[in-house]
Amino acid sequence: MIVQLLIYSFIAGTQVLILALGLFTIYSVSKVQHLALGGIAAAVAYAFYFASHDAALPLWGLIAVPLLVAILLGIISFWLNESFTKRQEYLLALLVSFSFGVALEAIISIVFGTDGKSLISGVSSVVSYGDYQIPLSGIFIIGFGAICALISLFVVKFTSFGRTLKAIAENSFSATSIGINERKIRLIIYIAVCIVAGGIGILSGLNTALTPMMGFNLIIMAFIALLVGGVTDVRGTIIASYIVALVPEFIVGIVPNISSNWKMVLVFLIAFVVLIVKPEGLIANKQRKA
Amino acid sequence: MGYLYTQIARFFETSMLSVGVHITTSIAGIFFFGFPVAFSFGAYALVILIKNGFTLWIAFIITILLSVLLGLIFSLLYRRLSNDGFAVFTFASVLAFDSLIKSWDSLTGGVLGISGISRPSFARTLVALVILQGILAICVFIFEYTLLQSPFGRALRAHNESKIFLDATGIPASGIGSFAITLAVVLSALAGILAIWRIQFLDPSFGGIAILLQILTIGILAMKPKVSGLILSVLCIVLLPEILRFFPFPSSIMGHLRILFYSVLLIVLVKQLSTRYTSKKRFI
Repeated sequence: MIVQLLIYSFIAGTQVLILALGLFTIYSVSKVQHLALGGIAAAVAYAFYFASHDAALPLWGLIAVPLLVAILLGIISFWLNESFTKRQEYLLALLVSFSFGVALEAIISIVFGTDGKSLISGVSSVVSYGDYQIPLSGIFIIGFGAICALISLFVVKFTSFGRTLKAIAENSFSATSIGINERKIRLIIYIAVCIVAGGIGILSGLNTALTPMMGFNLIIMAFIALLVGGVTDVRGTIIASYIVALVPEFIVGIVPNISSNWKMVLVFLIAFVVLIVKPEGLIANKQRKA
Repeated sequence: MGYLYTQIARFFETSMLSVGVHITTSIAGIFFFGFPVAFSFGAYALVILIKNGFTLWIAFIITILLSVLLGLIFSLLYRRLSNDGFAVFTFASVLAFDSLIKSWDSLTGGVLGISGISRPSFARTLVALVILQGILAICVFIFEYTLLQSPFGRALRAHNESKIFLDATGIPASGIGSFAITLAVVLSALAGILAIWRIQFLDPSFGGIAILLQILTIGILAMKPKVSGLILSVLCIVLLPEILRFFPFPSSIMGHLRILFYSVLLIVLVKQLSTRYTSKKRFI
């Protein structure tokens, strides 16, 4: 039972981690907490649902439609937040991002209704290994996470774009002064993160029904992981993503008479305790103040 | 006439909620997203206490004390977290509280909610309730006006400008912020109590993102520290979506249209008005 819980927790943690890393990247280059990312994930998942069910498009359509929606929403997010990033009004950017996410979810509710939509017909497939079962969607999530991690690692370590990205994250003023076009870099990051978030939206739709509010539930877990881990160090985000997935999964799995609805409450309580004790997160870079 | 009274009651309830957002977000510059939690908390606490045999006044006093405690918990978070971390975490509290209400069904009635909530004897009819809400809303507006004219009001404005400067003048910025948050939570809980006496039915949809959007829009529209501006903003924001009723939209999408309206309005307001009201930053 414990191994089975660990498998589920690992899948849930990977899902949280991918979104949290997206938030971390956007935060690194723009200092904006992009709350709309959950709404974007939901919108891309619904675009996939439209392409596969309502329009019944062939494979190219199943790839192109969600991709176009993700790119478009990435550009809109960038356009909405960029002026605040320039003026260093990060809280106003957060407010606009939150409103954009809510607007997306309202549009989804109006167009598709609030009832759950299933991307696959029937029960989702599972892969059995001895006594243990792994949902097929979980394998896709882990695979997607591994591909994203490898691409990110390659880009950051071995390309000039990665070095530019690190320069902006370190000091955007200095980066601009040596001729780096940080506006263009931010636009690329917004689009890339929206595509990845959309991928997670689609993959989570393979496991559970799509609902307009699914985005906020996804993104809040990722935000909590980001805050608990510490917004300055990616290692903290990785550890915290698995903690916020693992601990509630275990409590709900082991303690009798606790429904899975309690998971969000448990995550919040864990985060509350951690942040009261360590407000800068589990792992935080030491910064020297003048 | 019922529709008119309902709209007036909504105006008064939103006014009390908005005083909280005006003090915290508009004036002190604290991005606090936990209003729906306080709003629901006030309503649930009062109803549960009365259901468990407490008299109205005892239940009311306990509810206010509990909401002060809730405000202090939020204040503790405010003291510990960064500004954006606090905003995100208080937003997470809205979803966590919603999950708590849905999960703890033995206490809260779960998704089915609590029905048959009776109004107090002194506000048995809707008209009497509207009068009571009106009196309380006027008291709250007078209180806010007095507060803004006092040294505390000036400290709140200074908090928005520079916390370091406020600390340098000997006024603890964290104390000012904590007081503003606690006050906002208590006012939101009070608004929740008044709203539940009007609706007489309580379920998890009572407080939520729609309310948060509505009052944040009011907060951004009433950025200036003036009570008259706040009253006008509340009037506009409460009544504007009522125009949607004159269009032949299906009733199933009316709520979502209202949310879409508020969210788009909030984006436009923040984009257009923020530069006029926020303090100019000088870059060297």
